[in-house]
Amino acid sequence: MDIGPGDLTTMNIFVLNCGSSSLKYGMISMPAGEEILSGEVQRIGAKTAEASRIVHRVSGREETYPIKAGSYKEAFSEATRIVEKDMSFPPDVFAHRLVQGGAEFRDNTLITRREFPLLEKIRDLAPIHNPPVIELINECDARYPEIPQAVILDTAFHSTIPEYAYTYPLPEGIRDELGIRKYGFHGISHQYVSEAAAEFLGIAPERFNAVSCHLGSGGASLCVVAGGKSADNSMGFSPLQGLVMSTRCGDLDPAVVLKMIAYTGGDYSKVDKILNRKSGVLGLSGISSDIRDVIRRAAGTEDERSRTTLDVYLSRIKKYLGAYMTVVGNADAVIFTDTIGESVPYVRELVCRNMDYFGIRLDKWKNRTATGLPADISSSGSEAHILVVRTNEEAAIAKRAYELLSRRETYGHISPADVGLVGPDGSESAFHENGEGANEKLSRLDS
Amino acid sequence: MRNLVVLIPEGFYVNYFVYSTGDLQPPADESYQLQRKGRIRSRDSSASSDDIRSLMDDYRPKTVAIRVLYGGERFRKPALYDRSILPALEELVPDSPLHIPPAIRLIKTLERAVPVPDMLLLFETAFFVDLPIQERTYALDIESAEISDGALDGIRRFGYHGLYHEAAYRRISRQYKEAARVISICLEPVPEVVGIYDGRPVYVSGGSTPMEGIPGNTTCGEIDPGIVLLIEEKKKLGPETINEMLTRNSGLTAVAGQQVTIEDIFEDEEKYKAARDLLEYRVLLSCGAAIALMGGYDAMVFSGKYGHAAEKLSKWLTARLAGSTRHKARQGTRTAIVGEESKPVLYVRDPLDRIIAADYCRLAEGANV
Repeated sequence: MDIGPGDLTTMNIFVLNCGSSSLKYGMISMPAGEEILSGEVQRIGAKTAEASRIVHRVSGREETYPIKAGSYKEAFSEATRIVEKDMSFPPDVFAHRLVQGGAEFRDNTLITRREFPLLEKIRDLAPIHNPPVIELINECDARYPEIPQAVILDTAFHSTIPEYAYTYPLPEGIRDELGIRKYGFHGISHQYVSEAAAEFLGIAPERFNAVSCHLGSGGASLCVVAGGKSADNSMGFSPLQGLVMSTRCGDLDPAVVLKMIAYTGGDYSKVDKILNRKSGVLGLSGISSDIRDVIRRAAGTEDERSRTTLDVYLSRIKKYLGAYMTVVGNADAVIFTDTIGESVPYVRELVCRNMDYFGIRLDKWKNRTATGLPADISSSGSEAHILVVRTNEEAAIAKRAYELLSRRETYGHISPADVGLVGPDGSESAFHENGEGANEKLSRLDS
Repeated sequence: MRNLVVLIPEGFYVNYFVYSTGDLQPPADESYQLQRKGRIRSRDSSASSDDIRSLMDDYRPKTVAIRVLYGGERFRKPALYDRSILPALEELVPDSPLHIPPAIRLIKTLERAVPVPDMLLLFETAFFVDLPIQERTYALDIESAEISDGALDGIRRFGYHGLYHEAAYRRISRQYKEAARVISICLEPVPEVVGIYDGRPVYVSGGSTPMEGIPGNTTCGEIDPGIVLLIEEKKKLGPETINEMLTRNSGLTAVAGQQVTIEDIFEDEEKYKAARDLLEYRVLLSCGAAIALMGGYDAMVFSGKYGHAAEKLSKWLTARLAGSTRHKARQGTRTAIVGEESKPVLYVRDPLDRIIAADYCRLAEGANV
């Protein structure tokens, strides 16, 4: 049958998005992109002060269920039990978000048992985020072996970053041995909001240039979008580089890291914990990891430490915005998204202040009253649009998973680029074997 | 005729430059004549003391100007040496264990010369002491007891080519009085980009050490801090060996796959393309960051020893900053254009010793140094 991407029958994609102690899920009906239900399992793990629970949303209602979730496997099982009350389960496809795919997974892909050994190779690349995903992929396969699974990567969008931007100038031997390069993160969100922004402005995605600012309440990064593709990201090999985040330090003199390793007697895991969990807004302010708390405090009091925290936080965003506007050269838009980017007008206003050089002029009133998103908050004299766009990771993941399946339908087979699998030595030899696996599962989908 | 000796410690050597200072008439920096230059091995401290003393005997300078790499927050301008300075320098040893002890040894040697010369200490970090707080502060809780009882107290961003940048800024503001916002790019083995607003640095690519920032001949520059942790975790090399790797075996040399300098990579366009692309890109990012903090820029100035590279880099850079898309909008869309018109670019070609000699001359005019 000769059908194009838009002609696929409707399918329900169940998206699984693992956080460091939570599991977000959503059932998305594609190609409409309509969310049927969604929810979040919170406080997963053996040792949490409060009990685990599920916040479940369906047809405009929100329900909370206390549950026991000592592991991601349990969390998944509890979530499916609740989902089954509202609709038939399993779905047509499972789509997993993977933060870091390393050299093994460079692009979004369908995954079968044959690729499971490759998953083990990337387990340690993101020690907090990857193991739960691997656990869930195994669990889905064990419980629903007939349902295809897609792996959607935060790093995939950034695979177009040019060599001069992804190379760290370290000795080649150590780069190759440890896979050291910029991978970039938040790719799912940056891609989603830049597509939404291009559509909003009526610009063809492949001609769309922007700087996308994903300012989350936890992690945050800026992305250069050139011709609809990522050309740089402020996060690097790991999510530690770049902006000042809730508890991550962002950019830091490597010599300071060496000093910390020396002072702790070589205890790199302690240094890791300090830089990832006790620095950033939390380390600077000493009161909160949430920049909104710091803003309130800095505004209401003469608290100098809060003011410094806010200044360091904003200044770092401005530096990256300036750097990336220079790289783009002719940006159609600056995009703000995620919790802080969408809901804190003050941050947007200060980041855009005194940026006329880059053609950025914000309209204060539009900025403060931006509610129906996407919204354009630039003044009429601004050369670049300034857009506030709501990110929706679950919808974005479903969209990418649907694309994978559509591509396969269009061309009748999976190409290496679709599957994104390469052998450990970079050759394509490993692909053929793996690719067949993906095709096999797809033929089951056809039937 | 009075002599000035400029001493620039560099690695295992002390480079010396003997100037005859003439009549100290402005423009004095041009009336100075370089009489002799050379280098003294400083690794073996007793032999080097002898060499320094015989240099003093030969020229009997009124003043010795010493370049000091690090001066912490204590030294915010050049200091004429007196006994009270020694304890202050000793306090800086933990912050800069590689550079301060040789400087102290040098001072002690000069104190034993007959006659004892005036010693003028010029600090590379002095220009950066008053960086705005948001620029000098890392997002760390450095007072946290968790990191070895305050051993990181005082960790902040500095900058390491203050003498070049200050001289470059002075030159450009003399020539272009209206240039309030200046991008100053120093191309030395460890390059550095600074944004200077009304004479004060507001952005600097360098960090608490010269390791951060733009990659150099062999230095890594800014990298993901997670990479340092990864290397220690996987290779267990220890901080000293990793430090060695990041300062001596990284940077443009690591990208080119052979020992290169910034000058080299602009000579052979094809051979060193990867290294040059990377350097250009990193400098561009830094310029964009500096422009964001200054709200624009009025002029650009280059200094440092790699003058040919500066000319080639500046052409590429100004073209990128001026924006390749001068023709404004496509139909129906608005497009931001980076840069409106071309800005002045200046090259300061003086080597560091001449800059220091000029600094001395300026100070001598103002005060009785």
